[in-house]
Amino acid sequence: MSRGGRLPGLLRLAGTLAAGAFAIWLGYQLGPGDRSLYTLMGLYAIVAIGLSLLMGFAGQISLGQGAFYALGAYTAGILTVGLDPDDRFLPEAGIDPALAVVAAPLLTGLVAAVIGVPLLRLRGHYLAFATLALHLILLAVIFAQSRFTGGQDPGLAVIEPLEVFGWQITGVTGGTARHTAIVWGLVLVTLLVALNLVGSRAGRALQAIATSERTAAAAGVNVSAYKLRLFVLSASLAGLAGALYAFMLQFLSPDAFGVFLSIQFVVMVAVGGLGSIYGAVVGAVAITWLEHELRELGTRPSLLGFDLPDQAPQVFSVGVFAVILIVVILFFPRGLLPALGDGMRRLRPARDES
Amino acid sequence: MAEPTTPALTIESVSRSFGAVHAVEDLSFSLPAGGLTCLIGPNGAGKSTLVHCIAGFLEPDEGHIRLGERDVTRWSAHRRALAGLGIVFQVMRAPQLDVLESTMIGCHAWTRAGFLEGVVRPPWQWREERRIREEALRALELVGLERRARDPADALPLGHLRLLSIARVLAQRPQVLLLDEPVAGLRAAEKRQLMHVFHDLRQAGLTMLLIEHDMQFVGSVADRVIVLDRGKLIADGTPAEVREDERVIGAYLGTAAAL
Ligand SMILES: Nc1ncnc2c1ncn2[C@@H]1O[C@H](COP(=O)(O)OP(=O)(O)OP(=O)(O)O)[C@@H](O)[C@H]1O
Ligand SMILES: [Mg+2]
Repeated sequence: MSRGGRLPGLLRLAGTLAAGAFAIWLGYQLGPGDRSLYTLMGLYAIVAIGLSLLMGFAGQISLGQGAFYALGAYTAGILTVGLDPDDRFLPEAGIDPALAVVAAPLLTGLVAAVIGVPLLRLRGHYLAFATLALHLILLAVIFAQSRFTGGQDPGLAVIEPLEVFGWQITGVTGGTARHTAIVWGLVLVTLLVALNLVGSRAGRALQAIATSERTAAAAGVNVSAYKLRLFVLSASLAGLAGALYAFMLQFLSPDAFGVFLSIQFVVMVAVGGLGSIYGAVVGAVAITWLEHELRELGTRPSLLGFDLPDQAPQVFSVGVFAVILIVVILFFPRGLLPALGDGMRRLRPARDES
Repeated sequence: MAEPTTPALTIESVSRSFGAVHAVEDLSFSLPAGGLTCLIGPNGAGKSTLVHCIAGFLEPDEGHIRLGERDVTRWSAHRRALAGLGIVFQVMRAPQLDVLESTMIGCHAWTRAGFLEGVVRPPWQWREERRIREEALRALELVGLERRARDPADALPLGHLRLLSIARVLAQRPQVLLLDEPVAGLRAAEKRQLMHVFHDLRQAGLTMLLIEHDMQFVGSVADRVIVLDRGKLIADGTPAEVREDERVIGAYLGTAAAL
């Protein structure tokens, strides 16, 4: 949003590009272990930017972004290994992984366009629950159609490496540095796309919708069409991230796409601040890191003298994120990052004016 | 004699009820192009209901609404807006934008950059954006809000919020403008400012339908007054004629509102 610390457009663009270049460079500097976590942060950031547009600018809550992420991953995976489960042992059964990465967001967007029509008639909590249900349904389908998806056991192995113009991008466990760099390059592109959209005629229309659908319609905004387009855009972004994820792990199982993932995306956006595109990236990085740390903590055999059960990682994450969400909603309704910015701004004028 | 011209807005036997309440009952009138008509009536007379039916936010149970020659009865609200209908609501919420950007939303109806152009930004998009900004600034100047252009809209006091919603609808360049109590809660100076704005708009040929309780204000801006009582039209004439009308006096005495 263009309110508050109003940097001149060019300066802001330069800063964003510099930060993006740094993020891409960092991909080449990290060791394989840290790198896969860093790639995941980038993938989640892409999803979070899309959700931030939907939640922060159009006021539509979706608890189904994890479903679109999963849909993108499985679309890319299944297209790569081949649609027909009986042919999958043949070479050439599937399509080029690079094509699959392009096809996945398109298909995800198409699905969003079809289900969005009835879904977006719902508002507020109803929309949140309906999108959550969407996620549950998709998981059920993945389990039920295990002949195609591999289900939970054996899962879906996507061993074909992702190559673009002969450049190998994945195929090494945890992905290559190139993959990480591409993911963060896409984060930068997504960020610029979102910032441009927000500051345009369409972006203003979306923000009018967030405040009052009636007022937006009175100004001539086709409310349902605008909501649907944004829903499709955010779903496609999640689908793209999911497709890139499929080639990072080279293995897909519904365990990686639990309902908790969708909730996590909402927490990322809430922490980063509703209405802040940059905040979505920061929220994604922070929450992904936190989730990683909590899992490390939970997988220890014991903590402070207590034996930890097998479910400890999930319990830790769910507990901590629930607390974060409640604290943010109660005390920082505009998000942690904007609240931090407000605090700094309150400190600064005192110094400037003295 | 001049040839009969099509009215800017035609209401044909429009009825709308909420359960047992007949908010608007078999109402017909038309507004010739140009001029300011005031719609008055006691609380609950059905004024807002009528205006919402015209703007497309309520569906009439019966009857037709024409905008110029087009029957818009089944049109969605946004399509009516694109066809030149503007509305200022009785209550308005400010978006999380600054005053200028909030006004720029009004320009949506006559501009065309969509999602793709917003992202890719071809040169014509920049030109369009400049025109939007200029038009919004002009609208803010008209209502006297230009100094607050960069303030957050949701921090405006109620009076300024009203002015903002009027600026936004002016930026929309409507041919027919519906105003639901636009001056309620405004200070005398702001009312006077708007009186001038409405006067200028009338000179510019805009057709306006304005709901207002303050008869002094009505008397100073209206060419014509239409009086509703319990969903029915009970008087239609110049301000002076209406003020003398016995049914009008009766309707208002019944609600103890001073004329
Ligand atoms: N959404 C609704 N549901 C039920 N009844 C309604 C609704 N809207 C209006 N009404 C009823 O219809 C009647 C007309 O209401 P309306 O708001 O049109 O009156 P009004 O002339 O605008 O009054 P005011 O001067 O108080 O704004 C009232 O009796 C009101 O209670
Ligand atoms: Mg009313």
